[in-house]
Amino acid sequence: MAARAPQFATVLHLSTGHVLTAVTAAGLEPTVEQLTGGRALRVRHSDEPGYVMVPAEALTAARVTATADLLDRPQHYAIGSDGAPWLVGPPEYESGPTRTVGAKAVVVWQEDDRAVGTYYEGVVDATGPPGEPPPGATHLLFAVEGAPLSVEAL
Amino acid sequence: MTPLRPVFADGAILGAGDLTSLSTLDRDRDARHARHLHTPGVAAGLELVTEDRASASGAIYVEVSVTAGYALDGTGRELVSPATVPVSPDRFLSEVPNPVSDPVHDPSGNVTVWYPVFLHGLDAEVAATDGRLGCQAVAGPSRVAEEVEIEFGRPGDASVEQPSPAPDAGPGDGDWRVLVGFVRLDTSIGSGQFVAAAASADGVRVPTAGARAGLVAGQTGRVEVRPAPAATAGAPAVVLDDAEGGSLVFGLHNGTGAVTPLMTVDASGNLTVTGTLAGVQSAGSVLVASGAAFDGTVLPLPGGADPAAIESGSLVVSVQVTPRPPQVDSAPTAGQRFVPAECRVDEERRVHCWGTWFTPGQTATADVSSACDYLVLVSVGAGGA
Repeated sequence: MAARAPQFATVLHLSTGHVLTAVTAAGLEPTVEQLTGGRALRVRHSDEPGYVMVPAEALTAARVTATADLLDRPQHYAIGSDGAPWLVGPPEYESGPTRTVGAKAVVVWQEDDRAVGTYYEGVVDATGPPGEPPPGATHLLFAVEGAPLSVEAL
Repeated sequence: MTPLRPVFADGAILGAGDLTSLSTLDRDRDARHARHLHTPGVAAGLELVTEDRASASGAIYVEVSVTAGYALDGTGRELVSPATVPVSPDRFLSEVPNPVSDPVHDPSGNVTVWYPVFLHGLDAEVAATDGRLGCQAVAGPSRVAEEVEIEFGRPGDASVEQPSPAPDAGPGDGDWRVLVGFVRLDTSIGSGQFVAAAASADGVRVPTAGARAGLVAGQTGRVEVRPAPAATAGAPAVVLDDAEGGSLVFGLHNGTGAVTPLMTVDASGNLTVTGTLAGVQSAGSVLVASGAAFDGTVLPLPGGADPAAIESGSLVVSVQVTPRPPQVDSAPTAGQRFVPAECRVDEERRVHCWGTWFTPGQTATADVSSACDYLVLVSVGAGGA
């Protein structure tokens, strides 16, 4: 039988606020280092066997009130300016979602044989995500402030 | 030689030797008691204190004194200093010719040189002065003053072993030296002046007189050990008490005579601590962490688990994960059901957990990452950590 839902959870989120994972650990406050193995957090692409390894330096740990929904689907949430999670919407897995030019963005490009993705922070420009995709990139995690998380296969 | 006790009889003529043997008997007994039941060192006072001074040229130095106090030397002889005694730099220079002046410069930087200051006993005969008959009629001393004298040593002398007297011997003649502190000298100030004094140097501290005992037994069912005579609030203490079957307590005095326990061992061997236990995990112990974690996360280790010990194999990690199906009302489409497809951890303890939403009777599905409930156990192998 599952334990009663705990009061607090640790979430890892991007600078755009997007939550990528949530963990509870009775009596402990795990760090980014502990939850990423000092390396990266793996974000799965839905419906196909692909993923993006988000580097630990792109993540921030925050302690929030845990709800069953946050623990079940943390990637539907973002951390607001008040430090509380809010429902930003389900992640999108189709290529080229429309995003507001000039909005704050984080992008992680995943090359197939690399243990950690390549990470950029910037703003959405007319061509799409900031930064240049490295050769051999297979997947992209694209987080734009205020919009649902996007994980795309290239 | 076994102690000899004089016996007197009516009509016997007492000689000087008979009376002297009385004092010698007690003096030897006291010395043997002190030597065999106590360790030598300072028992009270005898601290080096300083007063700042400045030379005519403005150079800063200190005047050093030894405060009044009491010590036992290694022969059991008591060293009593009834008043504060100045420590003379001139005396130092006469006993330590060509001292190394402070500061000394060498390739690694400044080096300070500390010289030990010792106290030792000195028998000084006191001649009779008033010319009266009787015990004071004969020429020669009628008293011996057991004085003390300051002596200086060279660096390293404080660690030199001094000879132990025979088991039946009385107090020594004062050769045994008791360390009371250290001084530094600067020969560039006048003819040489002290610039500092300390109770410890080069890893050596002034020894304090202690007790030698194979057994310490309380008189009322309780024994307490603490670092200072006064039981002030906050003073640490170890208490052995036979109340309620017996206990060993380490704690802090609360200022009203009681010790507030920080660590207790009771008569059944149960250990209670108010803090945390740190250090090597003992054989048979298990650390546990549990909770919920989402796909892609590395499961945290329990608090206190040493990652290096896990890496070396001294600690064994066991992990159990159980799929945590999302709530039905969070389905992408109303009426869908969730089936877990994978729920495991890899060798990095990273969670691989996902499943599929489906609508019964329909082919459309949606694979999504999901969460699991986890239990991480860290245990010690038979060899210990």
